[in-house]
Amino acid sequence: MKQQVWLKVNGADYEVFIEPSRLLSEVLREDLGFTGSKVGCEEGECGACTVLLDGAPVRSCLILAVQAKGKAITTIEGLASEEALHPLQQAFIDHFAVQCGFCTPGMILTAKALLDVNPNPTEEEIRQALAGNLCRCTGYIKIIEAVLAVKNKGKATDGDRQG
Amino acid sequence: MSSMKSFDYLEPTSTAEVCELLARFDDSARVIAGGTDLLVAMKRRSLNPLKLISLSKVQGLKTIEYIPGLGLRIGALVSISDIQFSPIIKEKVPVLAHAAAKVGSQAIRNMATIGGNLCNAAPSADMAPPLLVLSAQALCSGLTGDRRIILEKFFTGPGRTSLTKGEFLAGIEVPETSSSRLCSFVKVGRTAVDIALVNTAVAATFEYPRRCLTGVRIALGAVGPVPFRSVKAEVLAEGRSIAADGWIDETGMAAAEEAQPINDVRASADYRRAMVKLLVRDAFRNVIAQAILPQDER
Amino acid sequence: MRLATIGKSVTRIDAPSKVTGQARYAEDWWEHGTLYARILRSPHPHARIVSIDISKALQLPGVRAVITGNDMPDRRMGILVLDQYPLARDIVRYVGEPVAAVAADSPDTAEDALALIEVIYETEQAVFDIESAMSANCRVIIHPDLGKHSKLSVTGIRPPAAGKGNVFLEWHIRNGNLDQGFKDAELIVENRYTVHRINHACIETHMASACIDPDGVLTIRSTRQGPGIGKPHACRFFDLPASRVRMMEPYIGGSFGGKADLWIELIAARLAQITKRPVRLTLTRKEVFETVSRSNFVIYVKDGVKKDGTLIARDIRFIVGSGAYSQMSSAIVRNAGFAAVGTYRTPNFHWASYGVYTNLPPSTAFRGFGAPEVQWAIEQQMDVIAEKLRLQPVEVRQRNLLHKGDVNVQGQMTTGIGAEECLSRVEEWLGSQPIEKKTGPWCRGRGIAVGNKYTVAATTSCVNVKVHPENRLEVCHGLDEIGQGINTVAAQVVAEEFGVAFEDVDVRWGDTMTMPYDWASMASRSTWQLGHAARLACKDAKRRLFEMAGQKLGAHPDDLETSGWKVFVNKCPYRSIPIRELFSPVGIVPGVGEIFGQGEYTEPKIMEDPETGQSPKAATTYMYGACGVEIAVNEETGEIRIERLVTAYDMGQPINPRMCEQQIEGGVTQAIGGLLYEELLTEEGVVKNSNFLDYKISGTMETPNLAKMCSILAPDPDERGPFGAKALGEGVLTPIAPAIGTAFYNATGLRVTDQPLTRERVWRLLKERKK
Repeated sequence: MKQQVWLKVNGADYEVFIEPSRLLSEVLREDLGFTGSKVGCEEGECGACTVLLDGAPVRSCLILAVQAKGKAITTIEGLASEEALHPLQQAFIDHFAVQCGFCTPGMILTAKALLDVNPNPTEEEIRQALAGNLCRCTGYIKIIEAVLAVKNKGKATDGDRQG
Repeated sequence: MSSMKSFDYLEPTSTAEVCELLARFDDSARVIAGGTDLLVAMKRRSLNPLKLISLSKVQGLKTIEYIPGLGLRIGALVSISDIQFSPIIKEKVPVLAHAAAKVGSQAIRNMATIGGNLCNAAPSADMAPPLLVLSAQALCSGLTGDRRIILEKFFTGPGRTSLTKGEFLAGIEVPETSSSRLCSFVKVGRTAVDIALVNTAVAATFEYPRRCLTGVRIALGAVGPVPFRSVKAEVLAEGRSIAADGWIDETGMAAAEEAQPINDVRASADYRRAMVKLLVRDAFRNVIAQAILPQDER
Repeated sequence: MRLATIGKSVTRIDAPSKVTGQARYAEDWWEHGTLYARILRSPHPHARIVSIDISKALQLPGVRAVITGNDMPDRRMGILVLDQYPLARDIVRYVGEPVAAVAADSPDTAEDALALIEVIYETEQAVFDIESAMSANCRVIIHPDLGKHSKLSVTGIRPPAAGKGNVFLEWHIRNGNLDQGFKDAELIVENRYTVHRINHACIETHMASACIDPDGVLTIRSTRQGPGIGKPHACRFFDLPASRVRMMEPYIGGSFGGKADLWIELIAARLAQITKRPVRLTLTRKEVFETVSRSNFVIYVKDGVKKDGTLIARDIRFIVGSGAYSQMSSAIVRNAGFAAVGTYRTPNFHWASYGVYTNLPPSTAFRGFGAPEVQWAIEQQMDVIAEKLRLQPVEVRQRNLLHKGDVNVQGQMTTGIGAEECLSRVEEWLGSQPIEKKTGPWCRGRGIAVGNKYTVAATTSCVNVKVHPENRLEVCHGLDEIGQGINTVAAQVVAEEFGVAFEDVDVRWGDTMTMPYDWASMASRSTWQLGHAARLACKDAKRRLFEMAGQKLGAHPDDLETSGWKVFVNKCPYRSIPIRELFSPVGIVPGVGEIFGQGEYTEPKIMEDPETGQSPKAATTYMYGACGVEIAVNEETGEIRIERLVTAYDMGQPINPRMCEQQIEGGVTQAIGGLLYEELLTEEGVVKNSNFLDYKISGTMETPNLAKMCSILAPDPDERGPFGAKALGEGVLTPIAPAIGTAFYNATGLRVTDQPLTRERVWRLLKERKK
């Protein structure tokens, strides 16, 4: 039976009337138009559909939309401000971390969640955090470099503050 | 749009209500916790429940509690990443945090729950071996109240548990004594993020006066229909000195013999058996490395 | 020539839309009233379809159409050989072959309907092993009627037949006197190599949506690699003129050859015709694993060499396991030969390649198109030769490498070969640190290999360029943006030609209705072809521009040049006019209009002699590369770790060096994954690991640390290429696997000729070694 569900996506509230069998990935993409979340495997193994739920990365293909009620959902569309891209988005551009782009939204959101809790991760920590996000084009190297670059920027700011 | 069969999504708010719904709908209902295993099965249509009973609105299932003298109580809905990062778990039973870190990817761990990991009853469940060696108990809530099942008796077969009609797993209890135990969890996969081809946990108490390990527990996963304790191997390791190490290989071999691995697409039985021996060895090495010795004995 | 934009690592033009989630892929459009399609697939590897009963499925509420092979036009599809119905008729030849298709209001209804279709099969014997299938004794003949229903116009095609096995295509390259060569040889090295099946594992699965637009145009939006291949297929299949079929390929989430075949567009299109509704058909990850794969290969190489390592005779038998239908793998049978002749001088030579049907799923192009596979064999041969002759592996290679100006054994002149430079660069980097000894269960070894990849010839590319009055250029092309960055290359080429900033260029692509013709982003041709066609288009636009400017400046158009949005007289640049001012008298409304340029480029080819395979111009050009690697092998678990890895590639003039690095790093990771982790496992024709849980590709943890990797660009420009560019993406794979293979030998003493080197297989090999 269809249910009325309120979802909070990128800071805005949305009302949808959906079957409980609808996945978060489907509702985001089909009902709300957030097609930036890609669906690659439908079984949680590839990471393309990653979104943030209360700041933590989850697989939107393995969550019922009804499970996301009351939680803050962040998709790739919610990362940039009016004025500027998120530093990770800019770093992915500058460091050539994008090829076909299908894994990119999930990669960036997963990296964002990492930097939110650990602003200065080591290369190893970045690898660990991104280990579940598959990419078939880049070989990951430039992705890791992009995340390291944002981390290093964070460090510089910290240094400035201390200075 | 999903190709899952449609179902009703129920959100009971109390334990009693959950049990009542489970009893009423019986086989046509499934409990959903994180859903990371269940939804895959439903998408593949190997499970087609008509009712999904969510535990998310039931109070008290999301907490990790330490009760002095009793131990840890971990609610069924505690996520694997909460276990991975919980300060109290890191302090009292770090092996659970280590094992949690090996479950799937971070995004899966953020949704997957301890209850789901155990109730899915996969022989390869990474949380099972450490809980087995710590003599954890499953706290099961039913129509007639709660009962505790020692975890060894909880798993009855691949995908099967000893939960009865109207009953669900409310949490896990890890005894107080666990925090003084030396523990290790090790795992082998094909790549870093993988379902275990074999996983192993070892727990023991270090008796400093005799420089030996007692109360040895060894648990193996993915090499039998359920995660299980390798009792024969435990006997071989019991009371052994940490100075000698010939017994470690012996123990590993005994565990490998006790394992009943199958051939499947992930690995052959041969390979799994060989890995049991290695993992048991590595786990004991880790355990021994944790034994606190005076400086001159190290 | 001083270059302003070419050779600069300008930012990828597609990156901003991709990092913000705005970039749209085929899956990201929904039409009103869309139906969802699903395919019923054969559970048998070889069976006769006795009957199909769709009545129950049709009765299910929400089901709008159920079709079988009989509802489709009676036409077979294929690349060189027309042998495949998009929906099976009468016979199924692999597990997973489409048998029926459903269109319904929702995916779950479509899925429910599949279960209601009743198919009765009469199973037949099946054959899975390539060499059993090609044997004259093989009792299973998979396409006995090939000669009856298909025009066998392509050289080397022959119908499988009882007593002749399942070979459908045979191809030869001959030169010199092989027998004499082997007689004169002082060492003969002979080995059998195999390469296993892997899946392309693009993160985006395959999808096609189709509708008939109000003007009756069959409109397909899909993930297909190559509209220039796909659209003619659709026209032929439905007997429609090219003007009545529109194919759209927006951003594609990776392809690597895997989206070049498959006929799902035709199934979606037929459902759209029948239901008069838009239909979308998205394959599940499971379906992709079950129906798309690289071919499997058996390669026999016999080499005759002199004591100093000079190669004097080489005999290669290259067998391609196509699976149940020939698809793109048919072209691999022939094109892999280009790779076999591309690196070394080989005076006496024979190449024989065979395309063989089996009852495995049909296989298709995979990044490298036969080149990595043939070089898995050839490069390890070179190492065996070096070892037997107590020579350095690099020395044996250097002794035999082709040089610029050499005619290769197929008869084609070598126009640029950076292989020697690549080899010495990787050797230097790898040798700069001593190798660690054995530590615990880890033993270590190093390997080095070179590789080449040809660029295919005889295809056409068209590019349009528009000059707009706002000082912007628009370039329109018909290639695919599959992640390789062709849109950025297009913008760089026209920016260079016009002497304007890269940022002043917009790129349009991905729609056969509005874009000029091209064949496909495939066969290492995109940069070369698009580069040439775009330069011609710019020349054409500039010609018009100069004619207009000439009148205003009182100069002859031939004396004019342009840059910085001005047209000026070549020898006195102060006589100039801004381009925007040229528009005023052109349009009816001042300042409006566009100046248009067209470019068309076809790379010439001289067809090979059907007997000897000889041609002075068989391929377009060759790129080269080398890899040096140090690996550690865990003798207890079988795990292989990449300790250090260096590559050097000659891609000709790099258009965008950092994009070249992208191709290199991605290709290296893909090659490592394909060798160490990946394998499509089949049992009686059934794919057993049809998900990412059980089909493992490299993740971040499997990629070597940044400090352990080095990518060197070692360009040797080909002056015939656009700005000297050649190619890169596919060829990256060619030296990686053989380098790891030899490193494995040096670590363990085991020469492995069969891929893959997955953990358990390595463990088993080492266990057997101990016995």
